[in-house]
Amino acid sequence: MAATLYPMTGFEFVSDSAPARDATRPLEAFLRGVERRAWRVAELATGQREDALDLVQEAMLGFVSRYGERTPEEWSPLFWRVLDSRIHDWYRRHSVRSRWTAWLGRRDADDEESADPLLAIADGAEPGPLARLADREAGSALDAALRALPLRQRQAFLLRMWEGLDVAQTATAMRCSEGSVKTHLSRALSRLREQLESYQ
Amino acid sequence: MNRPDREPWLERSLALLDQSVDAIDASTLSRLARARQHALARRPAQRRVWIGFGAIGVAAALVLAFGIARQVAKPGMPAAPVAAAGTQADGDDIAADDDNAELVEDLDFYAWLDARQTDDRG
Repeated sequence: MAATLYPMTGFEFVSDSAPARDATRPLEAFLRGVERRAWRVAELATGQREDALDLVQEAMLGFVSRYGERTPEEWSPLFWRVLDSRIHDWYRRHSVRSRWTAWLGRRDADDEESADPLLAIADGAEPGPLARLADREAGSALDAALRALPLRQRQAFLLRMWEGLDVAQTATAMRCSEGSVKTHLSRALSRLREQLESYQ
Repeated sequence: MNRPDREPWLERSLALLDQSVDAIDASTLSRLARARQHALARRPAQRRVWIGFGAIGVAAALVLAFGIARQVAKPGMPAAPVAAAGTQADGDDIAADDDNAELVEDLDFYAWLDARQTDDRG
């Protein structure tokens, strides 16, 4: 990106000058380090690759414009807070549509299953990233168990146990009290243990 | 992030999640990189635009304040219009009228005449 001088104003709009690059380098390193896990969290929440990409992009834009000036120590919980907010927005937008889709889908499924028994067989065409791994079975079970969790429980588990945020940081990211984080996490661990203990 | 106090199923689940992130396809990684660059590119540009608009605003406010201060502090100028100003304006109107030019020139004569008439009456 080149520098552009606007003669009428005398302002120089530079988006990639050396000082600007130096200033954004730590931020870029942070985003580079977190973006894959962010996409995975969004993908587990939405079940859609494209929607997850959109959410991560929106979260990056919101985080950089709103919290980019904060100290690097503050970035992690704030980034996850923005992404968590975007995921909640996505849930709100899709809640009404999902209700209608589920209702109509159930009616359609009932009709189709009675007409063609082959359609009742589970579709393995959308296994998700975990299914591509060597231990396909355990990965699929984990994927399914995580998707089945309520949003708050899944977020508490992923942020606290996988991302490694402490309780206070997780509470900041989830915009709730530390007590709520502990409750959500405890329930998530209990449900996951039930379903995944046999895959050790 | 291995911790000995963690249960085996949890340890394995977290390892699987890490592996799933490493197995993300190239197309998704490319999209993520573009999203990152897009977000970072907007940051310094936005700041400079706002700094520019801020500078224009401050400069305009300073010029306005300086102009007002000069008007208020002008020496010899009355703070507010006085009634005498109206009288002065009327006199100027009389003097500007061609018909009254002679009257203004012979003002001393008419003052003397007026005094004589007053004395004669008295």
